[in-house]
Amino acid sequence: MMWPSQNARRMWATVATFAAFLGGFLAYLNVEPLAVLFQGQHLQNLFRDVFPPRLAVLWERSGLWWSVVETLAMAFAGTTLGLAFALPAGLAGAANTTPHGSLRAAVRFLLSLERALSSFFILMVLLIAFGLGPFAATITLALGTLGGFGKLFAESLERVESAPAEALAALGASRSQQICFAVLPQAAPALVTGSLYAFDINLRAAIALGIFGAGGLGAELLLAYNTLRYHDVLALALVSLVLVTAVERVSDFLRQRI
Amino acid sequence: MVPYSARRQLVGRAIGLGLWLSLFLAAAALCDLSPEILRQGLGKAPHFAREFLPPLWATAEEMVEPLLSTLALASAASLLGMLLAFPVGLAAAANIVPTWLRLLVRILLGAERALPEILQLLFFVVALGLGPFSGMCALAFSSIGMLGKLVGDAIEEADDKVLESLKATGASFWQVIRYGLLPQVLPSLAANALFRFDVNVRSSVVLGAIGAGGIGAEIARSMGMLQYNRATMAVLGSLILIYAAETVSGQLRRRLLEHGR
Repeated sequence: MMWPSQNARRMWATVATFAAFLGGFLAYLNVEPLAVLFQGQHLQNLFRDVFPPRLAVLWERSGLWWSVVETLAMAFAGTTLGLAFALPAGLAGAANTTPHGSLRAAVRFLLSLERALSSFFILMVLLIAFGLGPFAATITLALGTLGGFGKLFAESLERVESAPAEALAALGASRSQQICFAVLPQAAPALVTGSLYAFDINLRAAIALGIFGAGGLGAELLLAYNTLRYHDVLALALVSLVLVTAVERVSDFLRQRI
Repeated sequence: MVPYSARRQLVGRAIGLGLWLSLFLAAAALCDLSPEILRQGLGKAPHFAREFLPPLWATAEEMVEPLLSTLALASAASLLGMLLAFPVGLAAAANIVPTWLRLLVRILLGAERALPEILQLLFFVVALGLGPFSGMCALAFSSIGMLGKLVGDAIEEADDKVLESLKATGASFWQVIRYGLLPQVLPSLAANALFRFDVNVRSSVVLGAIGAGGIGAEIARSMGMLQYNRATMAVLGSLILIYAAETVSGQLRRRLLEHGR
């Protein structure tokens, strides 16, 4: 790659192009970032309205810890359900394990469609279909897991060494025996690591979906936000931060043991 | 006979699986996962199909403006995130700054990555009001959270010999960074920023529904007004945008990596 360091003029041209694009986008969005930054009252407002976090909300609101449990449950159930469907989807979507090429193409297309659909839209539709409550959110998370990890699983399966499966085939093993004893064992570590990662992602997504009406900790956040209790919002944000970080640590620990 | 170690491994796996399954059953009970609700909901599917389909083609033209706004938001956030990720990455690299600063920056970046973007958007809305600018700030922040860490890691892995020989020629601190470090980390930063652009386009649709405007707001508003086939049209628009962004980002990344060789 010819990087502009080799040519100062090219570097300045790149910088100018960048600046022009950024300026153009900002102008299109009708924002004056400099005015916002230099007026400064916005930042002052933020500090006045949000700091310090009102940690008292953690023991004053009796339902809060229950909502944390609900968020964890949504994330866990959604992850498990999603992975249960992602494994067959991955098998059907990988070239070396799929029953038929056209099935592979269809599965890949459906998975990419799911990934392109915004999760909040899926949630809104499911909330109308299944009513308010954690059910719709759990299914949304399961679908998201299916879309993301179905693709990941298919790629992990396609990356395995083909020689062991060929050796088994030479011994007269059937296709399903090859998959069970040669392909899956090789891909297993990647699948397990991916599964632990899925829970991390879904916990974050569960909090975010709560803000869209899925209940749990996100709903507590939305309620505090809508009633202008910004100090509580910050306290709840800190709770989410601790929760997500703790789960990340646990799954890191499990990943290293496996 | 199964060897002892293999048996122990098998028992360990069985316990892990059993633990996972019982946790799932408890979680499923908490989330009201019952076949009854599923059947009731699925029974409404034909009714839903009539409400949501076909898309209200007449509103296709109304979707162009919000789509462009969402695209501009995501592009500006990606550019801004990429530009700011380099200085932030410098402050997160052990071979550039003192340990305490590196630790502080890394903790802040980690905290940023742990919080959902939508939650960060709420704070930006408090400070800056509703609108695309708040959404852009939220996305620029999360871009820095990801790219800053990656740049920091890349700088720590950069070739020391290049920096040493530049220093030996009497180059100043900034000259070493400009001519020694920047060329080493820029290709990977550009590739990661392109990936981040793909992510940002998806996120900007979601953030739009909460207050950043654009196509996400259009989807949320149509759903709120029960104009479901209009919502389908907006979703269709967002699908096209997301696929296009994914394709462009992937192509550019591939070209970048090919040139890098």
